[in-house]
Amino acid sequence: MTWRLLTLVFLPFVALPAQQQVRGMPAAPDVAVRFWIPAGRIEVQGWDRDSVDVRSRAAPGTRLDGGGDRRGVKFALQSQVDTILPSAQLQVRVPRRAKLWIKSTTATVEVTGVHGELEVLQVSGGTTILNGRGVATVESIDGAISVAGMDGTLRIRGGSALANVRGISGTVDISMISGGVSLVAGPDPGDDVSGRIETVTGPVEFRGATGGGRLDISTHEGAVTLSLLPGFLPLLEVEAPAPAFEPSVRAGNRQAGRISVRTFKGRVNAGLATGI
Amino acid sequence: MNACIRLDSMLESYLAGQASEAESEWLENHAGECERCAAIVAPATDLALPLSRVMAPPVTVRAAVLARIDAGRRRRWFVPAAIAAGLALTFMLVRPEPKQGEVPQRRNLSAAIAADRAAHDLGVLDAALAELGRALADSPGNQGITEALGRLESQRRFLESLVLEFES
Repeated sequence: MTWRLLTLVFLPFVALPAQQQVRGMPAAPDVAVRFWIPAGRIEVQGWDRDSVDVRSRAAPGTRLDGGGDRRGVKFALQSQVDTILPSAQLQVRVPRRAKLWIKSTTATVEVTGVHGELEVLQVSGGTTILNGRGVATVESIDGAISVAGMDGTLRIRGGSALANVRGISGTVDISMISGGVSLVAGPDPGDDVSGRIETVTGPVEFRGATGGGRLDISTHEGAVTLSLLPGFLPLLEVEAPAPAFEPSVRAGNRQAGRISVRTFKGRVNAGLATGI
Repeated sequence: MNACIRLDSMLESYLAGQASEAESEWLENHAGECERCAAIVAPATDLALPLSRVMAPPVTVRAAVLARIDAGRRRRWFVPAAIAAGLALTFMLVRPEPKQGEVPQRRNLSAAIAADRAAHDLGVLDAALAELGRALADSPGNQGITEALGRLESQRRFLESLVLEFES
């Protein structure tokens, strides 16, 4: 009954057209930009201009407040009621080397071409990073995380969703709980990847080559699958219950890197990849 | 004489108690002045005066009863309203704690969603911590298990701190 009443109360807000807002302001190349967008969608694009451009379409009953100076700007969605999450569609452009911070509850976050620092805090919305560089950190309770193209340091901490990383070069630090991790790294020069991946029950899949880097993988009971490129086989170190390790490849060389796997009771499988 | 004829025509309704107050007053006054009509009215009223008039309560009693009836009518809306207010107050004071898996009713909606979404993985972590705790008890000093326990505890702290992040 309560929800029916709430629906009747808020239906007119939903039916009304959204309010569009355009804001532009001068900014330093490494400007700090912060967004608090509980629901909806935010797309951020790094560009080669010395300004921040924000185009928003906020849901009725919601407004985007914010402002700042050349060193830092901050925006937050505010709602007139606390029974719904403030929602908006945002298209943002920031200087490429900006320090970007986004906090969201259920909103979809997509960041493209930001080469400074990126930090995303999420509950359950999806996060996508495209062509990133520098340092990117994503913390999400159960929102899916997808990274395609990252050069630098990537930190992901999550719960039950999948972390899907492609085209990484640099350092990874990925920690999930029941969510899985899929990491694909290429054999091209400069595509070396190092770091650690850990899960509790989530499966871990690594495909490709570390390019000479060292990767430490640990799980409690999550299965580990390694699909390694012939000709780029790294050294393998596996600590797992004996029946749980079924390697079809063992040999490798130090120049191709090293992969260490430790699991309490997860299965480990290492084989050759046909491609990436 | 015309008055006597008029009384005759009114007598039946008077005895039935259907005459108006003015008609009754006129009839009784006329019977008090006219021997003929008094002889008709007196025996008839002794036998046929309406019961309602014979047993009519004193004015003070009637007024008191009507006043209480009116008060009762006023209480008809007051009693349910008082019960509803009492129930609402009771619900506010002794509202039950949400069960596991339910979205807790917090003032901050984002915090409620975060706590709800984290509940499953906190359970996963607790189960794994308990399992490793038993394994360490069977193999005291096992470095691998000790390190794994440290990692799980770190993950639990992270998840709790991320939920708290949405409280603010």
